[in-house]
Amino acid sequence: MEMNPEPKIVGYCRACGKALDESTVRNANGTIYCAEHVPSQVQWTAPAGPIIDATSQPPSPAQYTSAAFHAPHSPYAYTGSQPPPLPGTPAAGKNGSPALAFFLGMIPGVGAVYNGQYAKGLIHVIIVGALIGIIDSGEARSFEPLFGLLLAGFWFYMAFEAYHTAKRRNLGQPLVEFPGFGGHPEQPSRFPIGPVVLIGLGLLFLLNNLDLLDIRKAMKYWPAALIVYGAYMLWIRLMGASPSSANTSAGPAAPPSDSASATDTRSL
Amino acid sequence: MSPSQPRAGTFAGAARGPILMIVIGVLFAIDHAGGAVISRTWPVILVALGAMKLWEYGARK
Amino acid sequence: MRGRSIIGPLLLMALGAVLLARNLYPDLPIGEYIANYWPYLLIFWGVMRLGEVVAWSTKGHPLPSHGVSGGEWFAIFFLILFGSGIHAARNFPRNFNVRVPWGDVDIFTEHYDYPVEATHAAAKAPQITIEDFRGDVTVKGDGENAVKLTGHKSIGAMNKESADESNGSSAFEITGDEANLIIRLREDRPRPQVRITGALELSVPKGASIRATRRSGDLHIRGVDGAVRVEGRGSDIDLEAINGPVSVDGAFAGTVRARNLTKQMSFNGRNTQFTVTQIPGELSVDAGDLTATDIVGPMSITSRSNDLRLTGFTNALDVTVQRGDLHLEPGKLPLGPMHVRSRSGDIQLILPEGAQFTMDASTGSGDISNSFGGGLQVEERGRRQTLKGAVGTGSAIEIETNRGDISISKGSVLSTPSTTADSVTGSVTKDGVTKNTVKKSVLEKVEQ
Repeated sequence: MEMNPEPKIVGYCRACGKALDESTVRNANGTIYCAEHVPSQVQWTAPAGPIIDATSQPPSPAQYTSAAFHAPHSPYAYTGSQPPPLPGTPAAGKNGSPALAFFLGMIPGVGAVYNGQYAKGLIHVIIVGALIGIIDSGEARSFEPLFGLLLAGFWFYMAFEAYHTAKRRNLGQPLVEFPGFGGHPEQPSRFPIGPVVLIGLGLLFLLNNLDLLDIRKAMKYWPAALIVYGAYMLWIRLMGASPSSANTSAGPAAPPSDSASATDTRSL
Repeated sequence: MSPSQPRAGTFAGAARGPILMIVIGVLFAIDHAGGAVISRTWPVILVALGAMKLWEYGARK
Repeated sequence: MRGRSIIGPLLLMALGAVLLARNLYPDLPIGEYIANYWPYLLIFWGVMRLGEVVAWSTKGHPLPSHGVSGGEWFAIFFLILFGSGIHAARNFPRNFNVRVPWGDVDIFTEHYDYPVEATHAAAKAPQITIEDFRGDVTVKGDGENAVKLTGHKSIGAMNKESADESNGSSAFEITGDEANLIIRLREDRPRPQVRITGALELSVPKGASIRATRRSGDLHIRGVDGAVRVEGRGSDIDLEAINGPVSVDGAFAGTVRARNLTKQMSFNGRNTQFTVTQIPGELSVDAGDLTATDIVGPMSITSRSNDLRLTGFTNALDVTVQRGDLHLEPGKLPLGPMHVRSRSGDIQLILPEGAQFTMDASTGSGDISNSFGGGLQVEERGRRQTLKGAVGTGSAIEIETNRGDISISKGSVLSTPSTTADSVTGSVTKDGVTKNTVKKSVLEKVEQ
């Protein structure tokens, strides 16, 4: 097959994670597959380019990895007839219902699982659990209202996120489970702010846990995050690149703690 | 498959999950062996995740 | 060379091997192995996956964008949940001293009880050492010059035969000479899979000094005249009517309670440390609270996160807490000097009517309310408020918190309703509006 050495990647196969371009992408069940893994009996559409015979290529080893934990009769094996239902896809129809996704999204993690996004579901559960844990522990003290708002906001986010994902699935648009954070190599030149934030947070909590640093004490330096973020923006400007809109959580995430506490302590 | 076919994932990306698993396993093993407890060491997972993302970023560039 | 064909079968084989071993060698502590070594399964699994990725990479196969799929992470999550659950259930009561409400959980073992009885002659004031076996111990001082051990030994084992065998090769015993006695668990052939715990009562001469090293369980000591020293970890510690100095050092998950101690008590826990000169009343400390009634200073208390409630204390007080609310109510006049520092939390000081003192209180962010009126001046700078001044001539009271309200109120006169107005006077005026910052508990007192 003839291929462009640098094809534009439009998505990744749901089954094997292979990068897909315009010519190799197959839409089915509301998501995308490569030619090898597209479930049969489902009308798939190749947007453009040559149609590849799905059975002519040997299976790549990669295709089985992600299937390891699904049913023994892997849905990704091209059996030719009667494909078993996909994980996360309701057996009733080939497409999910956005309304159902919305309501399932009200249950932490379930909405994402309904959309077949297991890792996202897991992370939703963990985030909700962590927020409830923080609020319940009383450790947050004057930040408690903030965490309450975060929790409420996140709850609705989950529902709407599931709704929109289901909608995209129905329209056959490519799905990215963690946009901007999944490490998909669309924008190789972007500053790796996600990893840096992760490492920074990790070190911060580690130091706190090893009693080398008191996060409560360190919290008063939060405006330094603004300075760092400003410096980063400056760096971007000077480098002539445009600042990425994603992952700005490093800086302004910390709320103005004092005003929050003031309202808290004065409301007797 | 022709060699010109685009690779779906980078080595760093594919190795990330397994390495994360190993890190989590090691932390729990240390915990259960009576060493540092997981409630203290969990940020190591964040650091490892960040380091691997950084590695991925570096490998991509 | 399929990832699925390597790891799935291997996991199945591992499961089969475990179940087979359990059937062939019922004595093997499989549960303990799983509880302790399940993380290696995760490591092994990760190494296999990594090996696959490396192999594909060197052979030039296409790589998946993720080495571990979302579904697999789900399974890993449940493995971690399951593994750490088993580990917690088996080890928490022992290693981490978190008391599980349903007690000591053993998944694969049963408990068999055997009676314990031992006696040993003792001097009038012997030194008694209790070694660190598992289980509960109650120590009582009485008039006799002997140490008597009663109670029972509980053996957790796979079956009765195994328990009987362990019973034959182990004993709770009293060794040493009359002046130095040791209570210990002798195990001739200790087996890791058999767990022996005791529920023992020890009666000792009244003059005895006790030294106990704990590993788990409760310890009660009552009515001895010598020094008492407890260290290690466990659940509840209960000390009553002790005429010697007491020191408790370790991580105790339950409640540490002291009553009627005539000498100094020092406590060094994970979260809280204190030294108190005398405890005629009662003092108890657990994971979240330190409560004391009728205790005698000078005393010093430091804590990372505990609510403190001290009532009826006398003499000097020195308190440092990281976070937690403080309720301080000295018992009698004249007041001793007080130094109270808190990083975060409300401080409520209730002083007897007619108390004389010099006040220097400040909060970095919060309100100060004061019911002693005129002699004390509130000063505001930004969010910071300070209260300074003197009421008569008396000891210095220094209160400092970075964040939280401070309330100074009169205690013993609150039985008459007319003082409601009193407790509001002198409350902080801000933006020209008088705020009724009367603390809730003050109001409660008024209602009583």
